[in-house]
Order: sequence, then C-alpha cells, then structure tokens
Amino acid sequence: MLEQLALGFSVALEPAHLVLLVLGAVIGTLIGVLPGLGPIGAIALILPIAYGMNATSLIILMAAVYYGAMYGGSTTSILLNIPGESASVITAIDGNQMAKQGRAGPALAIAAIASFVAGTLAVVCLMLFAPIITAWAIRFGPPEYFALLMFGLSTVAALTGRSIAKGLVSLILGLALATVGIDPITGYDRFTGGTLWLADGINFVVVAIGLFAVPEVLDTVRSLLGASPPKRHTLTRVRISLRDLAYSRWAIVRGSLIGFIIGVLPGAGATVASFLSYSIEKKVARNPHLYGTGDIRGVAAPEAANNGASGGSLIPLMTLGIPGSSATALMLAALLIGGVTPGPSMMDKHPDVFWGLVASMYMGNFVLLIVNFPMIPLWVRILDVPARYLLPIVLVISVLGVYAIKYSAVDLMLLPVFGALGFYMRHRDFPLAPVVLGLILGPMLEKALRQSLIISDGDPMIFVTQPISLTFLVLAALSVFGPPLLGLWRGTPNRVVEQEVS
Amino acid sequence: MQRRPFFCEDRMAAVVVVLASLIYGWNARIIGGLGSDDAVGPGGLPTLIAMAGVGLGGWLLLSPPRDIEFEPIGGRVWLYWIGFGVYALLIPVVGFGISTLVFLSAVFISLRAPAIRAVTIAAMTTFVLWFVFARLLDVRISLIPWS
Repeated sequence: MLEQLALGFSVALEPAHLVLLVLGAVIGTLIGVLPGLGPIGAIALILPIAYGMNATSLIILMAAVYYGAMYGGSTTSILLNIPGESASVITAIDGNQMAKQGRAGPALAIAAIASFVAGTLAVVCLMLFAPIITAWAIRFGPPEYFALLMFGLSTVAALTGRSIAKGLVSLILGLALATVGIDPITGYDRFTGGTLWLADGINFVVVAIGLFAVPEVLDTVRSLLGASPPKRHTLTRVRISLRDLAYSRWAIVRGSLIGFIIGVLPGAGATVASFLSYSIEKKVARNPHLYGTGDIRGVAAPEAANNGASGGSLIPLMTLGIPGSSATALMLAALLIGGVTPGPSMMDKHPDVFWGLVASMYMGNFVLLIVNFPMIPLWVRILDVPARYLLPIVLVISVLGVYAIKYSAVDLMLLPVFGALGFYMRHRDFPLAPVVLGLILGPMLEKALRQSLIISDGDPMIFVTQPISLTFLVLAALSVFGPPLLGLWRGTPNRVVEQEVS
Repeated sequence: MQRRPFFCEDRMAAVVVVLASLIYGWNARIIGGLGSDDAVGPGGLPTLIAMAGVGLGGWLLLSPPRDIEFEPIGGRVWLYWIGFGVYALLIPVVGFGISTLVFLSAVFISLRAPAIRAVTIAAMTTFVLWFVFARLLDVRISLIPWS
C-alpha cells in the first residue's frame, strides 16, 4: 500500500502537476469566494478545459479547484455569513460569530488547518480501512439511508436554534421546498402551479443566498438608517493561537473521522458530514451552550468533516463508480473524459490515476495551506470596507451568482421572496440553516423513503426491523424529544428546553 | 413580568405555519398522498411534511409564550427590499450594466455616501463585476441592453 502511495506522490509531484495544483487551488479559491459559486460551479467552469488533458492531469486539476472552492466558500461563510455551497452552511453559524467578534483570522486559519488535518487523516484511513469500509458501506440500503438522514436532519433542526419547535418548522419548510418540481420517479408535477417555471425545482443557491445574504444586507441598512451606526467588526486577532489549536484538536479529529465514514456512504457527501459532525460535537461537548456564539470548534469540526468526506467519497467513486456528491459526479465525468472508467478493478488497472488523485488531494490541502495562510490578513481586510459599500456590492455579486446558474428570471424573482422570508425568520428567531439543509437533503430523504417502501410493499416496519436504521431512528427521536422530556421530568419544561438548546 | 397577549409574535407565526401546512397538505392529497392506493407515490412525503407542519404549528401555538421581545422591523427597510426586487427583475430586461449602476448608486447615496463618490464606486464596481463574470468566467450578462 505504501509503495502505491509513493507512486501517487511521484505522479502528483511532477512539475507540471505541481503547477496545475497551485493554479487550481488559486482559481478555485477565487471562484469559491464569489457568493453563489461553489465547488460545483468552479469545477463546471473548469471542465471545458478538460478536453485534451490526460486523466491524471485532469483529475489533479479538478481536485485542486474543488478544494480551493471549498475553502473559498468557507471564507464567505465566515466573513459575510453567506455560504457559497451547502457544506459550509454549518460553518457560517460559529464562523460568522467569530468574525463579528473580531476573530475572523483564527476562524479562517482553523478552517484551513482542519481541512489539512482531515485530508491527511483521510489518506491514512484510505490506506488502512478502504477494503473494510467498502464492505460495510455496501450494507447501507435505502432504510439505513433514510434513518441516517432523519437522524442528521433532526439533530441539526433541534440544535441550531433556541427553540426545538422553531428549528423543526424551519426544517419542514426546507423539505417542503424540496418537493417543488417534477417528481423524478413518476414525472408528476408537484406544487408548480401548473407552470414550467418551477418544473426543475428550486435551486438551493437561490434559497441560501435569499435567506442569508439579503437579510444580512437589510439588517445593515437598518443599522445604518438607525440612530446608532452599526458596530464595526474590530479586528482583534489575525493569527491563530496555540490555545485555539489545542482547544479544537479533538473536534478536528472527530470531524475528520466522521467525515471520512460519511463520505464512504454512496450519496451521503460533505454536506451530511459537516452537519452531523457539528451535531455530534455539540452533543459530546462539556459546554454545548458555547456553540453558535463563536466557538472555534464549531468551525473546526464541520470543516474537517467536509474534507474528510471528500477523501472518503473517493472509495465509492473509484471502487464502485458511484459519486458521493455532485462534485465527485463531475470528477467522474472528468475521469470518463480522460478515458478512465472507475470500478472495482480501477486500483489495479489505473494505480497512477487512483493514487495520483489520493496524493494530489493531500497535496492540494497542503498547497491551500501555503497559498491561503498569507492571504488570511487580506481576506480579513474585506471587513474593513465600510458596510454601506461592501454589503450592497456583495448583494450584486450574489445576484450574479444566482443568475449564472441557468440564466433564469424566475430565480431572480425568487431571490427577493426568500430574502423577505429570511429577514422575517431571522427576526422571529427561526434558524435558517435547517431550511437550506432540508432543501438539499429532501430529495435524498424522499428517494430513500420511497425505495424502502417499495422494497417492503408499503410496510413502514422496514425502518425498525433493520438494526442500523432502528439505531439511527432512536437517536433521531432522542435528539428531538429528549430535551423536552428532560424538562418535563425536571418540572420546568419551557425554560429547560430553551437552555438545553441555546 | 408583564403578561403577553395571546396572539403574540410566536403564536401569529404558529397560525401561519398551521394554515400553510393545511394548504400544502390539501395539494399533496390531490397529488395522491399516504392512504391512497399508491402508498409511495409523489404525494407521500408531502403528506407527511404537512402532518408534521400542523403538529409543529400546534406545538408552537400551545407553548407558553417566551419573554423575548422581538424588535419591530422598520418600514424603511422594506423600501430597500422593494428596490432590490425591482433591480433583480430589471437585470434581464435592461441589462446588467444599467440596472446595477442605478441600483448601487441609489443604495450608496441613500446610505449617506457622498453622491460623486457613490456613483464613481458604483460605476467601477459594475464594470469590474461585468469583466470578471462575462469575460473571465464566461457568464452571459450584457453590460448594456443592446450588446
């Protein structure tokens, strides 16, 4: 195994490939920083260059762009509370609070460090556990996926706000939005009002930008118009301290491992990994009330998890030919363009491509660390631009990001609608992250539900007769009903619930 | 502690959630939800979502009101929201250049930026964004309507 990894590194360290790595990381970061353009958009924009490149060069470039864009997405999440891609929705919760407290530098640094550590652990896990994990992952059928998603969604909904009920309302709003459009199984038009405008469904970028970016700008406008001008984000620290690193070390390790395991499950991907790791961190923490207030572990864990998931997703992609996410689906397309068909024999037939990709993903993280660390003070300076100029410009960039998806006037019309909804929800204490996560994961949840019921001839007992799915469903129920029941048992339901979840 | 009215903010939101869930659920039933012959049809998950929505709305409605004071949302903020909506609608019609220049200038000036500086920054931003998106990233946006 070590020999094969050495082969991979010899491929990744060729001068031409190193240039591609650095270029890809820089281009990916610059595109990822633009609100609305995440890794998918970045890879899609780079894909036309793919024609004419060999498979190894192509996949190395893709990996670098992917990681760069992921980091760029985290940057906008942390600095501006605008998640450019789904995996960084969770990062925005604590990351932006840190930025508001003048600690944007440590937040950006821990995001890069956690990604690097997770990338390293993912390579080690790939070498040691790939065959075992592949065999285990194949046992995950639709009921297990459904239960896993229910667990993840319910914990996020229950933990991201001050009220469990409001978190769950936000979640079901996201799930309801996910059902708009043509049903992929039957082709039935759902909640489109009989028009073609919504036939493709509602893109999560439109909802994410509407819910996060527009209210942020409206709030700034409100402060600027008010008697007291908005508080400037005074920059107290740019560098990360050893204390911060020590404080978040276990969050990084746990996030990396959770991310890797979730990434191995075909179809789960970085988004599920990031919010599951955040939920688990909050559960195991001695001081969970600090999450959501600018706790550095709330940035470290999801960032490590989404990178760990990227490493883990290579297993189903390369050994089964099943992409774990949209980004890996584009990587699959790139491999096919390069004349390489992933499958069980890939590690034997194309070891240079497989191990070259593993090594280049690791190198990509390292390059990102080197390229982006010196740039952190520069990114942080964005916050020095007066709010009256910065936020309207960010709003315009967000609009462009939305328009660039499919040049749809309907998306542009939906943007202010979701903006108003987000503004209202934010001011009425409804958490916004569960809406976006419900929208992203809703189709996966529905697919798993319907496939499970088809397998069981409509018998819902299938979810409780499988031990893995039963375990996840029990955990999901505990995360939702545990705190209120605990409150009732203690005799002060409302107060206790508020304290437990806030 | 001051007694809060029954229809406080949270309970108004709860009523909206229940009503929206009922309307959504009604539409789901038309599609064919749980309880029909097609138990796993396209209306299955929407029916479950609607049921959960009604239940959660009820939970919010019956919960004791919390002593959190919600800030009133100022009327002038909604003017900016309307301005943003008009801007978003105008992009495909009059082009990115004109709509963005007008939108940014208006917002900067209304937020008490000096007029000349506001228009200059708006013009520069519009051009730079058009260049990055249209020229470098190949996004199809026009600077002026007839280009």
